[in-house]
This record gives sequence, C-alpha cells and structure tokens, in this order.
Amino acid sequence: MNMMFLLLGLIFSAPGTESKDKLRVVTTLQVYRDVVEQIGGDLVSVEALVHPRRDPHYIPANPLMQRKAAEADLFIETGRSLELWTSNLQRAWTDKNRLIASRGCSVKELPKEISREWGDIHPGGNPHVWLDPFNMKRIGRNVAEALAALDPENKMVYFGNLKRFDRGIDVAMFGKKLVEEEGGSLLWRKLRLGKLDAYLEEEEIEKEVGGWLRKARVLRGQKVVSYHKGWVYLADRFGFDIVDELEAKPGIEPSAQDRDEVVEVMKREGIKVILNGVMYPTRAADYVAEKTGAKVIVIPIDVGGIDGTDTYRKLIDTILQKMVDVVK
Amino acid sequence: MSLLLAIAIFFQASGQDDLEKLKKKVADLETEVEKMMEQKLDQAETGPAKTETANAFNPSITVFMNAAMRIDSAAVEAAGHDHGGGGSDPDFIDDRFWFRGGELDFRGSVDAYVDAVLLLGIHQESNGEFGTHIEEGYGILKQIPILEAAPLGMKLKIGRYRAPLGSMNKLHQHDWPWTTAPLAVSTYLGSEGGTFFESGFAMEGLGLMMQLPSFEGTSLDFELHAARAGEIAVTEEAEDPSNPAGVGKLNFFTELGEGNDLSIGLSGYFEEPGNHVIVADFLYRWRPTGKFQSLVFGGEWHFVNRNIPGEEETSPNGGFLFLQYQLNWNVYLGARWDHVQGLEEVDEETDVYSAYVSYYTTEFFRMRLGYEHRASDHEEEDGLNSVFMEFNFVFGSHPAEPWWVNR
Repeated sequence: MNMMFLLLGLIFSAPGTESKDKLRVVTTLQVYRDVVEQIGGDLVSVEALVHPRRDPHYIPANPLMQRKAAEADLFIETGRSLELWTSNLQRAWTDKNRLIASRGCSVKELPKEISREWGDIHPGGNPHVWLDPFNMKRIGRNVAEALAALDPENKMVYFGNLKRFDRGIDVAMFGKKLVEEEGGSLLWRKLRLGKLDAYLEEEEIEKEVGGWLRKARVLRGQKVVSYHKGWVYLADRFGFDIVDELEAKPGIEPSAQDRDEVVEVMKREGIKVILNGVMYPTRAADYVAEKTGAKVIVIPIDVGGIDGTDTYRKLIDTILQKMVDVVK
Repeated sequence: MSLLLAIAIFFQASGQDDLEKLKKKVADLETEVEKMMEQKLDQAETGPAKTETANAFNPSITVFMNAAMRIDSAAVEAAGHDHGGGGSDPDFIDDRFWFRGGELDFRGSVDAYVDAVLLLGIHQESNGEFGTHIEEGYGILKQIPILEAAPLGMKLKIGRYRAPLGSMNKLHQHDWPWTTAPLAVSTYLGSEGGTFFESGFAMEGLGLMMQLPSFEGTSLDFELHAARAGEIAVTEEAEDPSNPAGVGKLNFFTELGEGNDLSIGLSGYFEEPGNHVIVADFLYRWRPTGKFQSLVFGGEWHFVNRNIPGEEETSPNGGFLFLQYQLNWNVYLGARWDHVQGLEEVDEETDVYSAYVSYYTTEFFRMRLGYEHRASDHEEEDGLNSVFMEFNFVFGSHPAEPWWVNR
C-alpha cells in the first residue's frame, strides 16, 4: 500500500503535471531567451538549451534536453533547418506549445535548387535571421502572440512589454531623438525601401541619426570576408559587403586551397577584415590574415557569446563596435 | 486701392492653403504607396508560399550504404552461420571486399500524436548473398488526445525496434564508431555472421518510455517493454520459447559542466526459464566550445544466464571499453578492448584489441582504417590480425544524429 502511495506521489509530482504559476519556456538559442525575458517578464521562467559559444547546427539532443522540452509550456526554435537536432526531442508539438521564431521574418538566400554538393545549405533559406534587428521585432511579436495564446489573462502585459521591446530596438537602431520625432514605423519603412537617406536629407535631420545606424555609417560599403555564411542579415542591414567566405561551401571546413583562394580575393579587393564566429576555430582566418595583413574579428552570433553581450541590444552593439574599431 | 490689396491677399492665402492641402495629399499618397511597397517587400522577403501537394506529407528518406575491405593473417570463418550446410561448408570471409549493405530510413509524423519510422535493410550475409529485411519498423505514440500531458512524459513504442540493452545495441552498422560490432553485442544479443556483419538485437513488441523525477540538471529515463521471446542470441536455439520476454532500462544522465556529460545505464532482458542478459553501461563525453575536438569514453558489461531446456545452464559475461578522441574537424582516433566468454562454453574466452582512425569529409561520408588483434581460446581465431578499410555513405534528408553518437 505504501509503495502504491509512493508511486502515485512520484507520478503526480512529475514535471509534466506539477502545479505552476509561471509559464515555462525553453528556447534553443540564448537570443530567444532574452526576448522571452523581456516580453514575459515575471510571468515566465525561461531557459536556453544551446551554449552561446556553440554552433547551433551541431547540438546532440541529450536526455536532459528532452526532459526540459517535455516540461516546457512553450518551446522556441529558429526553424529553417537550423536546429535539426530538435527532432530528437520526441514531444507531441502543437501550434500552441512550439514556436518557430523565424515565422514571418525576412529570409535571404532561399535556394532555387538543393543538393548536398553545395554543402550544408538550408532549404528554408539562411537561418541566421535574428541578426537583422528588423527581424528581431518580428520575433518579438511572435513571442508575445505565443505567450498570449497560452496565457490570455495576461495578454495586455505581454503586448505592453512588446511595445517597450519594439521601442527599445527602434531607439537602439535610429537614436532616441529621431524615433521621438519621426516614429519607428516610418523610419523602418524608409530604411527598408532604401529611402531613408533621401528622407533625412530632405527633412534636414541627418544629424539627428543616432544608435546603430550612426555607429555603422563607417561600415557602409566596406568589403569584408567571413568564415561562415552567418552574417548576411547584419551586412545587408548595415550596408557592408561580404565578398567571400572562408568556407567555400557552408558547413565544410576550408581546405588549404580554399584559404589560398580567399587570400587572392582579399589582396585583389584590398579587404582588411575577416569576421570569425566564436564557435569556429580561427586557424584558417589567422592564416589568411597573416598573408594579407587583415584583422580577424572574433564575434558572437548569440547573446552571451562573449562578455558584455548579455542582451540582444548589447550583442548587436558589440558586434558593430568591434567592426568599427577595426575599420576606423 | 486697399480693397484690391485685401482681395489679392485673400486669394494668395487661399492659394497657399490649397497648396498646403495639395502637399499634404501628395505626402499621404506617398505614405500609402510606401506602405503598399513595404507589404510587397514583406511578401517577397518571407519567401514564396509552399506548394502544398500530397508529396509534402511523404516521410523523409535517408539512404545509408556501407562497404568494407578486410585483410587477415589467417582464414576467418563466419560466426554462427552454416546456411543449411550442416557445418560442413562454412563461409569464409577473410581477405575480400564486402558491400556490407544499404539501409533505407523512412520517418515522419503519422498525425499530431504519433511518429513512425521504417528502416529497410539490405545486408550482405557471410555467404555473400544479400538478404532484405525490416531492420526496424515502429510507431511512437507521444501523447493521446484526452491527456494534455501524459504523466512522466510517457510514450508508447510499438513494432520492431532495437532493444534498449546497453547503449550500443541501438546503433546500426552505418552508425558504429568502429568497423566491427562489439563482441559482446554480437555474441550475446545477435548477429548475422559475427562482428563484421550487422549485429544487435531487434525486438518485436511494445513498451513504455518515461522520464522519472530526478534532481536538477539530471535526467532519469525508464523503459519497460514486452518482447517476443527466442529472438535474442542467448535463446535463439530454444525450440519453444516462453512468451513474452521482458526488457527494461534505467538510464541516468547528467551534465558535469559545460561540454561534459555522463550517462550511466542498467538494462536487462528476461525470458523464462531463467534466461537473462543484464547490461551495465556508461558513456562520458567531452566537447569543449570553440574547438573541433572531443573525447568519448564508454563501455558496457553484459552478464548472461542461459538456460535452454536439455542443455547445460551457463552464465558467461563479457563487454567492452572504448575511447575516441577527435583530433580536428575531420579526423577521429579510437581504440576498443573486447572480452567475452563463450555462450555455451564459458571457459572459451576471447579478447579483441582494436584501433582505428576515421576520416569524415562531412557527416555524410566517412572512411575508416582499422586494425584488430584477437587472442582466443578458439584455436582458429587465436592470434588473428585483421586490417579493415571501411567506407560509409549517407544521402537524403539527413535525420538528426542520436545524442550518443559523436559522429
């Protein structure tokens, strides 16, 4: 009889059935953890599965991850075949308990044809969508909608926090004064349509530009080389040009021949910057830098990847600052 | 005069008002056009809508192919198979090239609650013939509609699948970190001709898988299955095996810090009258961040009791230890030690010492060079030295690798 009570106690104290007062959210990347913390506030508890210095493509899903996913009210992943390993988490997903964060985001490099011959390409396009701040606003909205669907009573709180989150990104992007005068929506629209410069000139408010846009002015038109195709969103948004990658094909370590070809390209184009993600060894980048006199910038792709990047805004700020320091 | 001036000022003001209005209208129109352009941009940037055809619901398919060449210091007879020749015409497998086989892996969601997997194997047997069979075919019921969350995250598995005995029995030939199967797996659980061929025990039955409560940062998984008896190597010679057999596993997993984890398992197979295989296993993994390096150290020990009516009861044991170190993105070095006692003749012991180097171009293609030395109480095996060259191909939709594989 005692054994029966013990067994019942174990079952009903199990993670899947315990009483709770906070929504439990599990994310793949730390960047989504940061968004959930900002939008969910005290109403959620959130944990990310991937260490920010690891390559999110290659994470072996272990039983502990499976347990955390099973306990979660909401599981958030990028989608677009970035985190294939989540298929091993073996949970019955529904629209309510699983959010594909990249839903509705602008996507680059959608392949017209697909073959493994071209390396580790993604059928759904380049998955590093969160490195475009505009996409981050969409991810924020996705998160707010997902939390509100699970917890309708606090819908106003989530959308109130979303408004603050959105404004935070707007201010970080354009500067406080410009956002207050022109509004974030108008500025993003002009920027996305390539009309922002003309508009600012016409209104004679160019000097009021602040934030990342001001900081990244010096990067416009700069030619750089990167290790992996992880920076296309950042480059397009801030106007620098990734001329070549050390990985001749995504996901395949560069060979000696690949490195030498990049050396030739860099010499020809006068490129002095190599972006290398923290999760990749710098051996190839160091070799190329030595041959060309370029500088290797080791940068994170996820929140917490290096010191001082514990929020999304600090992540983008740090990446841009590191690039600006070298380019200047 | 002053009246004319007043009229002129009035018309000028009125004209300016109109101009302002017109300017505002143009600005509003411009904003509307920009908003429409932005909407179009949104549609273009988020990618084309998927064409939903019936094919979109087809299972994902992966093809595996494995080939290996072996060079041996003596004649090697396939273990445990005479293909009806009554033992008079044994299969010799030494010094030749083998296309060991291919597997087709189909997997997908049946509906919102059930996933299904079918692994169709075409393997070369020790007589050189190819046999086609279902390696695995099972469904996993992850949840039922009346329960929002099953207690303990319970799942039901039904069909034919690798039994959860130790950690390596679940691996198919193309996923092995070695060219040959561990001797304990081949001897006690099952094989199609010895360690060089597909080995392991695929049970037919059904079972429950659940996660028991455990401390923070740990996972305690439990599985309990009912299997058709007489399929495992220990009792495959039983004429009328008692059904069903029971299979269970308790597995503890913990992270020992960033990049370090440890898994410890205890599993067992039980079949009347008094047959069992109890397996203790462990696996330690180390993967530092920012480096293409890793280390895996693991092993299993099998404790067997064999009680076939009309034959002498035996209690052999055996197992293996292995170590694998990843040098860089492509190259892995490893070594394994095996020891087993014979299933029927416990006094007949065999030790295998092996070492290998694996080269991966990507996770889809692997080449492996291996060396193996045997010391055995079986005279024909004792002192045997073998060199293997293996090639492994994976193409198709690329299912995620299981967590216990480090490539």
